[in-house]
Amino acid sequence: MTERYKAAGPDIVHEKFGDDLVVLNLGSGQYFGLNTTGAILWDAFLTGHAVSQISTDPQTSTTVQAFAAKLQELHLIEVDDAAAGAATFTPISLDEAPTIEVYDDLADLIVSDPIHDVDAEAGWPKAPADQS
Amino acid sequence: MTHPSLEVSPETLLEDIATIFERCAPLFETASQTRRYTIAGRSFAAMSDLDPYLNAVDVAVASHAPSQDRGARIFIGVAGQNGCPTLHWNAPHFEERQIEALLATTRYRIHYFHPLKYWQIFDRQTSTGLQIMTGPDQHPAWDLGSPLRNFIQWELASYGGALIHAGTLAMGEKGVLLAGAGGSGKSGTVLSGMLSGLQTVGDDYVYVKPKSLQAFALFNTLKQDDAGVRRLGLLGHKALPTQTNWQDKYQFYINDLGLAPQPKSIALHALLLPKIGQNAKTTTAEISAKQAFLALAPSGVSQIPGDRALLYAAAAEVSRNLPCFQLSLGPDPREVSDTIRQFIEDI
Repeated sequence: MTERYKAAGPDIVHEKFGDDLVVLNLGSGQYFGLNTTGAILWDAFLTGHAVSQISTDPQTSTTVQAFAAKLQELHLIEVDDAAAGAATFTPISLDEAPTIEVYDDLADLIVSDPIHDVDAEAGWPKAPADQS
Repeated sequence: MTHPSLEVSPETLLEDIATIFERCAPLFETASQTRRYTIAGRSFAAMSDLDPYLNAVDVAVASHAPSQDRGARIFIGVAGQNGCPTLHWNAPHFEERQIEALLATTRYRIHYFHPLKYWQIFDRQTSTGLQIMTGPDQHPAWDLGSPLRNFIQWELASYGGALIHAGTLAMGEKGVLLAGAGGSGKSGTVLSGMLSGLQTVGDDYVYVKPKSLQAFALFNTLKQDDAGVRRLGLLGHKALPTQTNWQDKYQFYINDLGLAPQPKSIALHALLLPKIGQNAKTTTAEISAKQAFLALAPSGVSQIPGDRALLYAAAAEVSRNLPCFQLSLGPDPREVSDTIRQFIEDI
């Protein structure tokens, strides 16, 4: 609960759309849609806040911790051992559970290696049929 | 004249690229042809001994006035000819994303298409590019539709914008972006709009400045499949080639359609995502910036190597700054064009 996080490398970029967030992993080609709560937590993690700062309520903390684990599992954030303590975070109550949608349709294009994965007839960026 | 062979290794990439530019410097002076273009307000000079390739660039690039200032310089040559070096990638694989990340904060950009040993290398600091092929026509099949595209992106990235994979339609200089994957009806919509008197600054790639929301013409190229050509009554038109291209599409050029001159740039007022509709009439429905972005970003980001993070950010900014709409296309091209004309007038 006291661990702090950072983006899992320079391949992880994100853009805000109103209260929502889209995260792209330039390495894997996957992109991810986070709802408003997910976007708040993403911001909190990337500004160095530990789960224990984000919520003091046990049930909410469990949800936040599970979301952090999900983001780690998707290789979007990683533990930042060198992080200094971040400024105080006003603990939140989660009216809405954080969600993350995974979109894979870009992945075939971005991670296709033009050397080996290009469709022989259609050419880059068309991936071979067995990879589409 | 010697024909050096140069190694390019991931471990010594920056030094190797610097060596390549050093060795290739004389080629800019000895090339027999220089063609000058003004693209999105910036000057480009293409230098080569390959007349047919330069002629193809002349046709495809939307250059509104020959430029006399220096701007970006790109040499296009054949490895082993006239002093142009042969380049060898000295690693088992060329991992495009890894190389892109490695070069992201440097002055250099690279694209390497291994099957043809086709290289594009750019120095952003000196605005100098090299395109090295193994033969005069040994370029990827899609290259001549948007020649020098990567160089154009790499150069114009310094001027507040990015290439966006989208079509455009306009009335005068007031227009809209049309974005969508293959089969969405984007190209057919642009072409039918043009034939109905609307203008365009491009059907495939345009240069967009997200802050000012200006879109600039880059290429004259149009593509349309046989069904689309028939639907629009263009079969047999003198602008169409006798054979289709690698995508089984007719590839032709705006300037050959006999229309009034197209604008150099337009002011964007909306982003439209066309899709083949099920209704008799064309309709528009507002969508979120996030939805629009998810449709706009993928193909452009994947098709232009070297600047993916920048292209992603530019597509996001454009999606945020424009009102976004789903455009459900009716079956009648004339009705579609009239609807878009009315939409542009009203917005």
